[in-house]
Amino acid sequence: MELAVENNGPSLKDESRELKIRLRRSQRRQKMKALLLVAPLFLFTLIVFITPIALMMVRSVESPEVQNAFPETSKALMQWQATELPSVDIYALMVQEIRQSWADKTLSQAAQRINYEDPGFRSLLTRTARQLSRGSAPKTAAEAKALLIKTNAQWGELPTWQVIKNTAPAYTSYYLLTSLDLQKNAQGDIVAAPEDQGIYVNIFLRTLWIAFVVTMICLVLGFPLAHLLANAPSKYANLLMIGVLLPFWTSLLVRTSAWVVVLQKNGLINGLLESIGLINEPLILLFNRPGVYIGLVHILLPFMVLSLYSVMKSIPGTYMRAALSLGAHPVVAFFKVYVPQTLPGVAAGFLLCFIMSIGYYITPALIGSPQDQMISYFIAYYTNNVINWGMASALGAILLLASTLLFVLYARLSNRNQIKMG
Amino acid sequence: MSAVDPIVRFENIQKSYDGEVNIVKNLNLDIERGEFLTLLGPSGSGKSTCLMMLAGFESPTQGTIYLDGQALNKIPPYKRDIGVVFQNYALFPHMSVAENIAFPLGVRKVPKSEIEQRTKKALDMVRLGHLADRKPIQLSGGQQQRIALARALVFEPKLVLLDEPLGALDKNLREQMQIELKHLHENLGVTMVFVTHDQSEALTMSDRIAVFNDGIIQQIDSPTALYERPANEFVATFIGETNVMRGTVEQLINNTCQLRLNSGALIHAEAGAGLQIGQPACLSVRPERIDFTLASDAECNRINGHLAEYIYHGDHIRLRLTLAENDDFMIKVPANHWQGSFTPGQATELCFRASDCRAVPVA
Ligand SMILES: Nc1ncnc2c1ncn2[C@@H]1O[C@H](COP(=O)(O)OP(=O)(O)OP(=O)(O)O)[C@@H](O)[C@H]1O
Ligand SMILES: [Mg+2]
Repeated sequence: MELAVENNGPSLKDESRELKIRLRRSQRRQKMKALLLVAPLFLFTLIVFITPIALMMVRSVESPEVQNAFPETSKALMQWQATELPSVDIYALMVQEIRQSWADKTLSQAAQRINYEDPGFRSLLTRTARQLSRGSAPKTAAEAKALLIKTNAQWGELPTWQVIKNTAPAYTSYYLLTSLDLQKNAQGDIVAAPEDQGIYVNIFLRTLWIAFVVTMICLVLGFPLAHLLANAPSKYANLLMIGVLLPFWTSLLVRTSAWVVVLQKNGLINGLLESIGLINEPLILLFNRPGVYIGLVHILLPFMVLSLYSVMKSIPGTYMRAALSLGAHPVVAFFKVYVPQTLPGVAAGFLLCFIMSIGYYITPALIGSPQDQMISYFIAYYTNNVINWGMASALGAILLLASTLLFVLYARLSNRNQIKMG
Repeated sequence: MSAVDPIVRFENIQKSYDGEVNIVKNLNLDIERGEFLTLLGPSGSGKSTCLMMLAGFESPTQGTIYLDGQALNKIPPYKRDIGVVFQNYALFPHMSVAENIAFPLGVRKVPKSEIEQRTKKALDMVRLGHLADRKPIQLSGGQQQRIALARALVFEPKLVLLDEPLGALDKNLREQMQIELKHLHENLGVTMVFVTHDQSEALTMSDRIAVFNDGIIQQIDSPTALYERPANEFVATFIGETNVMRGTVEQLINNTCQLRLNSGALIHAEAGAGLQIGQPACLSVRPERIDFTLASDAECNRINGHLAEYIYHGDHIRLRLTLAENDDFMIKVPANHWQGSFTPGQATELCFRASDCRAVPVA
């Protein structure tokens, strides 16, 4: 048997190679067609979605401010060993470029950038610049050094120059490290940030936890509802479906504000509970964690229900009937036969809700206390309040990374399931 | 087959889904222990409904079903111990073939070692032992069918219900599965109730066939009896192929009668039950019972007609004739018996014996 195969080996191999080539060619044609069909959508996504995200990722490591303000000094400082004070030439360059950037109005950005790493630097730079711009330019390098140290003694200290050197490169890991409660020490090693500055890891963990709790509540509430929707006679199912979709027809902001009305101390819920005598004192439901859970669950529940529904709808009733006829108690049949088949929907709904809730902003911002704010609140804070694009982008990038990791995990899991099932 | 100890008894069963129309109208049916009973009927005649009532997925609006003498009305499906094979097989997609077959044993808390051994035995019974670890979706239709069968049999139910289990298979596989199913039935001795709307399938496999139409059992009998002695026009036309002519009963003696066809010819025929003198009746003649060699037999019935079409089928030949009563009259002749020539429009005389035709009440 084996011998015969070996004899025919080469020609068989040739044939199969030929076949493979032909197969690949025909598949390539199909792929091209498919690509052409999705090209418009792809371009749209590329322009309005992928490009901004890529720009954001770049922003999280970009640090052009110091180079913009002090191009020559930056270059020189990057050569400098940082073990002793820089040479007088660097002092001269610095003086000249401080005056120049003050006139060009690029100084304040650089000052702010350096200020992130060394609080107090902004006032040092602005004061220095103001004084320098009043006088005339120094004639020699030595004169420049003396002048600079005269305006502020800090210019005669090594750390001042080290900070500028650190912020001089066009790319920095500062924002990303800070987002993870890390920093570089003077030796350039990555170390944990001091406790009073390290808040982001906790906020990330809080974000993940809130998202997890919300998703679990959605799953527990959504599963029976989706099951009902998928199995009710179409007359009722349609009505129910409208009920599920109704929230989509109202603005998110309106719905969230409505919760404020409903949940407040003398709001609807407390009034109702008090009037039927369940509670004596009003429950505190607003500006705390339960309020955030309630608001988020309300907004994300339809996504969970729809994910589950789409899978449940495609499970024919005969599976349950078959299980019953084989002697399984309805409860056993439900958990052993029905539930496993809904798992793709559970996974999809879980992931969708989870990813949506880790990025949620408006609801926690409106009905949460400061201790309930999620990471997106801080992204908004950095974008709108203090205009620190670097930090906003870094936090965003880490959020995106977390979502992507989750998604990859999900894709892996669901792929494996499909192979197992198929 | 006596009705002494039926395994299932339908007593005055009625079923309506909407409260207006009775899908099943007063059904009385005994299923004998160990028999292969087929419910045969056109689409929508209520066969599946009967089967689902027996399995417990639908409840009768009136009447009682007994299984082994016990009224089933209040017994939920999972306690009935009835194996069901569904048309789409309903193999659980997330379980392997072996897990599917082990499922009914698992829920019955059968010891592990026994489960393994019985699963293996069931797989071997349908000759698919080598596929134990596959997922159902990796099997062909015929293989899935056999697994579904093995799963419905593995817990040794008193009764197995099969709702058009072969409907999705192609013709060859279907015929092969029919025989396999029949052998399984003979070897296991289990009672099987089989639903189909394919009459040839019913004829091949069944001990008895219940012909359904309009929620009523038209006739329940052995395949031969149904074919040879249909009780009414519906059964005569539904089972096998037949030529129908209408007339009036003129004379009725025991099991024979004389029928005056609407065209005027007088026919001697076997008489079905329920005929009355002076009442209209329907004459059924099977295409293969027309014999050209009978021309000299004085006893036989004769009708005149014209040849209209000649259709070659390899093993036999079909001739279509136009008659005064029926312009779609078919004759089936074995190919080796056919010597005549065919000219369209040629006048010819048909002969058939009185014992080869049957008068039944009109439907
Ligand atoms: N769940 C149901 N609700 C309402 N009407 C139904 C239901 N199931 C069946 N029917 C109706 O009952 C009638 C009989 O249906 P049934 O399924 O018993 O027919 P059947 O003989 O099995 O036909 P087929 O050969 O097409 O399977 C049909 O008219 C059908 O429309
Ligand atoms: Mg049916």
